[in-house]
Amino acid sequence: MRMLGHRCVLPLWAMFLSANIQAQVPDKPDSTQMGRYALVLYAGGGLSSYPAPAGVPTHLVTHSTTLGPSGSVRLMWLPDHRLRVGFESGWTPLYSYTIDGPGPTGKVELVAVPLLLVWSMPLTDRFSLFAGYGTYRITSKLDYLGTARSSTHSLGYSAAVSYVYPISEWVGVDMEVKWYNATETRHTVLALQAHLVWKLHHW
Amino acid sequence: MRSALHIAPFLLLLTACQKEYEAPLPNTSWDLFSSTGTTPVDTRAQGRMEGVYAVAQGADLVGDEVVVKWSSTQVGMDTTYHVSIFCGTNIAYLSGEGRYLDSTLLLNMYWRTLANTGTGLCRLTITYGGGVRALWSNEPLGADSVRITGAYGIDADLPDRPFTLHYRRPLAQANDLVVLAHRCGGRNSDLLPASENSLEMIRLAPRLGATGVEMDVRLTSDGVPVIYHDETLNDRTIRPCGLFGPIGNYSYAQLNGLVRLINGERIPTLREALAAVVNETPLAYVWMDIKLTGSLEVIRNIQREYITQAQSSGRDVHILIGLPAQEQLSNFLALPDHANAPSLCELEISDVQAANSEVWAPRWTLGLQNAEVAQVHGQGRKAFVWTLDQPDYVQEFMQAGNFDGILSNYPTLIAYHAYARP
Repeated sequence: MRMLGHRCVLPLWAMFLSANIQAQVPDKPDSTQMGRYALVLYAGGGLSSYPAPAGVPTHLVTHSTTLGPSGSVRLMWLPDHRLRVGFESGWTPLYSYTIDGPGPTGKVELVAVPLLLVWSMPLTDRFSLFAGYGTYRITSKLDYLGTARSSTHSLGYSAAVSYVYPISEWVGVDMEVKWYNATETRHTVLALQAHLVWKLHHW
Repeated sequence: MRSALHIAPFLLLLTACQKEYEAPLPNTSWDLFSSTGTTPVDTRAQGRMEGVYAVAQGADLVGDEVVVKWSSTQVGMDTTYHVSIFCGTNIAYLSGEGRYLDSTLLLNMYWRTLANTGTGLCRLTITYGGGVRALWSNEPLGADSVRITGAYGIDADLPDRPFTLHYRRPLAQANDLVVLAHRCGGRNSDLLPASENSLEMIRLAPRLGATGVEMDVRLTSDGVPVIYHDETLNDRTIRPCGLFGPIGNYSYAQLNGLVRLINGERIPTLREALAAVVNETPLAYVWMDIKLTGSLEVIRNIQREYITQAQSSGRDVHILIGLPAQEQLSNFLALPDHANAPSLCELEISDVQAANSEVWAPRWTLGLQNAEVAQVHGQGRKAFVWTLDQPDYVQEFMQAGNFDGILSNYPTLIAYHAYARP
């Protein structure tokens, strides 16, 4: 038996939702008053790592790179309760490798663009959990005896923990540890990113 | 309630594992078998040894009755002979080689059960008095005249479970059923020792009881016909290499250089596949399942070339252009010499007539269709049925149907029923 992270969508969701259920147990009777709503934008970047062994041809001499710069942007709707929802996209390398022989040389690069529906819940004033579900557009670029480019979509999910440091009422910065998992294509990325957090609008 | 909510996700996490199925063949090294005193088994004894055998010990693995059959593959001037045992239970088969040690015949084999991931070693002998004398004589073999005795093991364990076969009767007479192996031998999911649609699988096919193979033909971006089933490169068919998407996105040089099938083989070209069939195997039928949608000119040219090559070698190999849909039929009819191009049509009988196909090949779910089969027989054509894997239906089609060939992922099962027919 082998533990496969990408097969663990259901348990992760169950953990996330169970935490939410507990978080939403009201301390006081419901109020009919509506609280403040806000739209918050997260934008930033950092480093991402492909923790699994890179898929490379074993019959060739290759050199693989599993660390690279990544970026993400996320728009969240913050209602007057703790469960928030939004949309996340971005760009992250998966891995790349050079083909050093024998014979012709070349390069293969894989990148992913997440397109995720994201839920979040604050654990404390500054710590929040994020969980996303959606699709990843995976692109493979080949430069070996000519060029070729192929793309595919993979269902997947994400999980993240973020720490926000407020700079003003409208702006803050956060550090985020993020886990992307393109389940169908079995690609996983771990990213450490810094974001500018900007409250675009509230009402 | 709260603690239950905490525990439940972790229980789910623990159960969210995926078992990776494997069936690696055991190492068949056997010092006695490879010792310097051994000699090859002559083809006459091979032929006499073939037959239907009762299983005296080991029926839990292979059933009460099995078929013993020899086959050969040719590489250059070297011919290798293989002995196979086909079974009606567990979709089991055994494969290996035989050699004499003095007057004892040794069979060094492995076994696989395709109904699960079972595999192991099997070492068998036929002593002089227990059958070699009968194999060397000119007398017809009678019941119990050949006794194959030995043992089989589980996985890599040395054989320690008794396995005994007693000769019962010859193989079914006038057995002209074409046993067609799907994807050149079987699917990757069946964990055979070679990848589907590979040259290695083509070479393995006769050992699996096949007398013909079905292969899937696609085009690379530079127009080279290759043997590959899926439309895209994916984890089911190839080893991870960072490439995916339509196979037609890549040139043959790129695929040949970077991509390896799930067991490490290259994606073969159609030429390589047909050369392997014609030059290295005794296979008599090739069903080229055409997955491309453009002109079939290049396929027709290669077909013509290898039919000629087979004929020049004194072989009658039926290399058929498979027509699975109207689009391929239209492209086939656009060939200037389509009436002379051997083909296999999966469509209506009227389409078969229009293409002058040698074979009509309906899907098995359409039933026995004895009237339609009789109709194509009346037109001088053959009828093959695809893709028949369920043991109950295999028996029904063989007992009540009149098809000339059966395409299956389990050619060993079809071979068993074909040769064990009373």
